[in-house]
Amino acid sequence: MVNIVTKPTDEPFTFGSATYGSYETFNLNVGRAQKIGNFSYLLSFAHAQSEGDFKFKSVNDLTLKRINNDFHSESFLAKAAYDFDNGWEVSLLNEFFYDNRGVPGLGEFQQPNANQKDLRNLTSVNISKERFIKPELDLDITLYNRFDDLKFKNPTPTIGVPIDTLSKTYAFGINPKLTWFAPYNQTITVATEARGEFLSDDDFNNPKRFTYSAFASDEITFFDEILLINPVVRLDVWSTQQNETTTDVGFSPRLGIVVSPKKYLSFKTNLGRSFRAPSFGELFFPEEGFIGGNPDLKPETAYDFDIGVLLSHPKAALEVTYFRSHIDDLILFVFVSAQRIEPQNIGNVDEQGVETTLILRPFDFLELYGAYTFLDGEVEDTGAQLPGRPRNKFDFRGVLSHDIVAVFWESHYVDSIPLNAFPNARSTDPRTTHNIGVKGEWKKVFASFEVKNLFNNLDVRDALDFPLPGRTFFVTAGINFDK
Amino acid sequence: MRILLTVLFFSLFGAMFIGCDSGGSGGGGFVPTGDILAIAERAGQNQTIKVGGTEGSVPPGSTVTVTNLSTQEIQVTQGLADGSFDPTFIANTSDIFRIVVTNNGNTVTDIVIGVTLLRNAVERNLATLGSVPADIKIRDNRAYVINGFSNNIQVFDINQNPPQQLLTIVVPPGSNPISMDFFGSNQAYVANNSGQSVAVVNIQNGNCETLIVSAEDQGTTVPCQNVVNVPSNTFEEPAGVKIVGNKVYISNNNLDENFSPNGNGFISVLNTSNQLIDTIDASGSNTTSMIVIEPELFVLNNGNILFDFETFEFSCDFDFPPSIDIVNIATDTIITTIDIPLSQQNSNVCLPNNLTATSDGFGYMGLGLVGALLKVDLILATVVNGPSNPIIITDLSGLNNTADIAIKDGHLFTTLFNSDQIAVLDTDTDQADPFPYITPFPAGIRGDDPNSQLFDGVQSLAIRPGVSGIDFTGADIYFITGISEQLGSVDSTLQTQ
Repeated sequence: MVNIVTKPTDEPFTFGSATYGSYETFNLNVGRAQKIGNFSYLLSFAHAQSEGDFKFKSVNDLTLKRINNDFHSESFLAKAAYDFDNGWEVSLLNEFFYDNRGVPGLGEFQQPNANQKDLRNLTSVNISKERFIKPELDLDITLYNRFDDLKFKNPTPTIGVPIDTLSKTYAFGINPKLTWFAPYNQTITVATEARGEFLSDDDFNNPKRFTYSAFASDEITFFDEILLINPVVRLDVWSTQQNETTTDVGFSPRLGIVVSPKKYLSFKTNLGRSFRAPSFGELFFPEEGFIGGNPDLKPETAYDFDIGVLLSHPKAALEVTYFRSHIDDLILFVFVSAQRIEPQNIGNVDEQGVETTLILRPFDFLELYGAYTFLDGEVEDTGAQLPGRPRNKFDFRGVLSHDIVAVFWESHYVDSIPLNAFPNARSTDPRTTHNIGVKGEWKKVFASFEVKNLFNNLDVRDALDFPLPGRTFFVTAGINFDK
Repeated sequence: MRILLTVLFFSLFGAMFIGCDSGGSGGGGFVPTGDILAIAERAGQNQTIKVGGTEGSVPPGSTVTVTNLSTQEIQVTQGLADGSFDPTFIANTSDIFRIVVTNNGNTVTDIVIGVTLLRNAVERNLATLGSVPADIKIRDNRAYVINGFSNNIQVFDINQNPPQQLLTIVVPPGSNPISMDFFGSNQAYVANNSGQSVAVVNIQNGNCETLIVSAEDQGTTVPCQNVVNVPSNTFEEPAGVKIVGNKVYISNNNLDENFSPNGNGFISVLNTSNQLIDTIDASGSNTTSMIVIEPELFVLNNGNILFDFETFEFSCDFDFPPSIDIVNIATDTIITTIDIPLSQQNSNVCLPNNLTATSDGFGYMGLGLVGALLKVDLILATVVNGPSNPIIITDLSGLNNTADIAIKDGHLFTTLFNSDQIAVLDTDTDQADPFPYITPFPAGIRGDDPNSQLFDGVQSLAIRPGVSGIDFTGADIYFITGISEQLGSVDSTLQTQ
C-alpha cells in the first residue's frame, strides 16, 4: 500500500523545473496546486530520462562502458478534494507511473538487449469526517485500487536462456480507521484493512491473496506530555490461493515509550514483534527453470528493540539510537541445487547497531549534518555477516548560504558489502564519494549546478555489485510562483 | 633345504624392520605395510568409531584384540586376507584404544592410539574466490582457480598455509572461462564458454597473450595482447581443453539459445600456432571433458536434461543420451563410440561429467542430478556401470551432483555438490567408504548439518602431485565451492591432526 501525503494549500502554487546532466540525463517537473472555495486540487507531472552510458572499473580493473542502461519514465499525480464544511471531506487521488529501461546486469556480463517495462497505477478515494457522531471521534475511510504490469525480456542473453516474462498484479482494498480522543489524554485508534491481490500468471494458475488486518493503538500522555506511552496491537491474516489455499496468521504487539523531561530532550524506546508475508515476487517469481518462485515460503517473523535519545535545539540536534532485532525464517534467493535458484526461508538473523545523526547550525549561514550507522548483522546458519548491507556507513553534508546563494558539500562513505551469506564472502570495495553544488534563488526563479562523485571514483558498486556512475554533472533551472 | 634357508633369510630380514606401522611395535618378523587407525567422522559422544587397519597392517589370520581403555569394551577380530581388520565401536571420540595383534602366539603389535577425525582433515574457507568458480587445476605447487563470472583465473601458492594468491590472469569481459590445460612451463589454453573463444595465457606473469576467436564473435578483446581470427563456428560454447604434443583439442557443447543441444557437439583441433587444423564431429551432444590414454583421446558427450515447468523437476532427456567417443590422436578420427544407454527405471541418472581414468584403463564419470557414478572400460570400450546400475554414493531418490572426480592410489574422491561432502570409493572394489574413509569428508555447511537450507556447493577438486610428507607437507587435495565461492583442502593421509 503506498501512502501519499500531500500538503494542503490555500494559495495557488505553480512550480516547474528542468534538469540536464551527464549521459544525456534530462528531468522535467511541473505542477500546480490551488484551492477554489471548498474544492482543492493538485496536479504534477515528472519526466526523467538518461542514456546512462557511464564508464566504470570492472572487477579486473579494466575500464568499461555501461551499455543498454538507458531509461525513460513518466509519472503523473492528480489529487482533488472537497470539504463539505460540516466536517466531511472527500478526496480522490491517482498516481500513474511508467518506466521503460534497459537492464545491463552484471558489469562483467552486460546484457545488450534486456529490457524492463513497468506500468503502475494507484487510485484511492478517501472519505473523512471530523467529529463523527461525537465530537471526540474522527473517521477516515480509504478505498484503493492498484494495478502493476511488469514485463521483462532478454531475447539474447550472454549467459542463460532467453527470458520473456509478464506479471500483472491487481490489488483492491478498503481501510477504515476511527480515532477517538479519549479521556485521560488518550488518542485511541482502531483500524481494519481488507485487501485482495490477484496475479495474472498462467505458470502459477493465477494465484490470489486476501489479507485481513485489524489494528488498535493508544497514545497516552502523562505529566503534561512528559511521558508518552503507545501500545499497539495488530493482527494480520493472509490467505493465499493457488493450487491449494494456505493461511498464515500474525499477531504483532508493540510498545513505544517516549520520555521528554525537557522540551529539547527526549528518550524513546520501542519493543515489538512483526511479520512480513512473502511477496508475490518471492512466491511466484516468473519460472525460468534455473530460477523460479517458491509457493511454500513461510512469513518472516521479527522481534525488534530500539532505544534512543534526541537532543533538539535551534542550533543543534543530536539523535542516537541503538537497535537490535532477531528475524526468524529470513527469505533469501539461494541455490537449491547446482541447476536452480529459489527463495528459501534460510534461517535466523541477529542484527544490532547504532544510528547517529548530528545537525549543527552554529551560524545562520552554516548548517552541518552528519549521520553514522553501524550494523552488525549475522546469519545464524553460517555465522557470516548479513549480505547486502555495509557494516559502517557515514554521511556528511555542509551547507553555506548567504542571501540568495547556497553552496553545499557532501561526503558519503559506504563500507564493503558482502554479496552472499557465507563466511569470507566476496564483497564490494569500501567506497567514498563526494558531491558539491551551488544553488541560487531570486524571487520566483532558482538554478543550481551539482557535481556528483566529484573525484570520479569508478569503483563504486551497489549492494548487488552493479556499477554506479563516476563523475556526473547536473544543471537545474526552475520557477515557483504563487499565482 | 633351499626353501628352509629362504624362509630363515626372510625371517631374519623381516626382524630388522620392527615398528614400521603408524604407531606401535611390530614383532615376530612381521613388517606392517598398512596403518592402524581409530576413525570417526566428527568429534562428540556416542559416535561411530571404526578401529581398523588398512591393507597390510596385520598378518592375515592374526588375532586382533581392540580395547577401549576408557570403557574397557573389548572386541576381538581376525586379520583378513589382505591384512586389514575393522571392528566398530559406539564411543566418545576422546576415548583411547589399545590394539594388540597376536600371530601364532607372538605379539606382533601392541599400540595405544587416539581417534582421528575426518572432519579435522578438512580445512574450509582458505581463500575467497571470484564469481562462479568453474574449476581448479594444480600444477607443481600452484593451484589455478577458474572464475567464470569474474573472467579471471586466480593463481595460489599452495606451499603456504593458508594458500596465498600470487597473481590473477584476466581474460576479456563476457568470456566465462570454464576450463584450461597447460602447454609447456609458461602457458595455458583457456576455453571461454560464453566468449566463444580460447585464450592463450602466460601462467608466470598473468598476461593474456593471445585470444583465438572468429571475427564475428570478436567483441572486447582487452586485455589480451594479440588476436588470432579463426573461421566462423570454430567454437560453439567451448567447454574443455586437452593438449597432446603440438595439438590443442577444444571440445564444444554446441547448444542453442535455450541451452538445448543444437545437434551433436564437436572437437576443434588447433595447432600450437593457434590455427584450426581439423574439426571432429562428435557422435553425441554436449561434448565436454576429455582425457588422453595415448594413442587415444576419450571425449565425453554429456547428453541433455529436461526441466518440467509443471513439477519444477529435472529429468534425463532420452533424445540425447550420453556417450564417449574414442579418437585416434594421430589421424583425428573417431575409432569407435561407447554408447551409454539411459534407463527408464532410473530416469534421473544422466548428464555424466568429468571423465577420469584409473591407471588400468577404467573411466569414471560423475552425474548431474544424483549422487552416483558411472564406470566404463576404456580399453574394451564397454559400459561397466551405466544408468541402469550406477555406483551409488548417496541414494538415487534425492537430488545431488557428483560434480567432480579425482583418483589417487586406488582411491577415487568425488564431490557431492548438494550435500557438501567429498566421498571416497575404492577403485578395486567400487565400494564406497573404504577404511579409513568410513564416511564422506564433511566439506561444507551441509556436511556438518544436513538440514541446513544454505550449502556451500562443494564442486571441483584437484589432487596435488607427489607424495605427501616427501614432496610436500600439508593437504594433498584442494577443492572449490560453487555457491560460497571458497577454496578448501583435505589431507587424505589424515596425518595433520
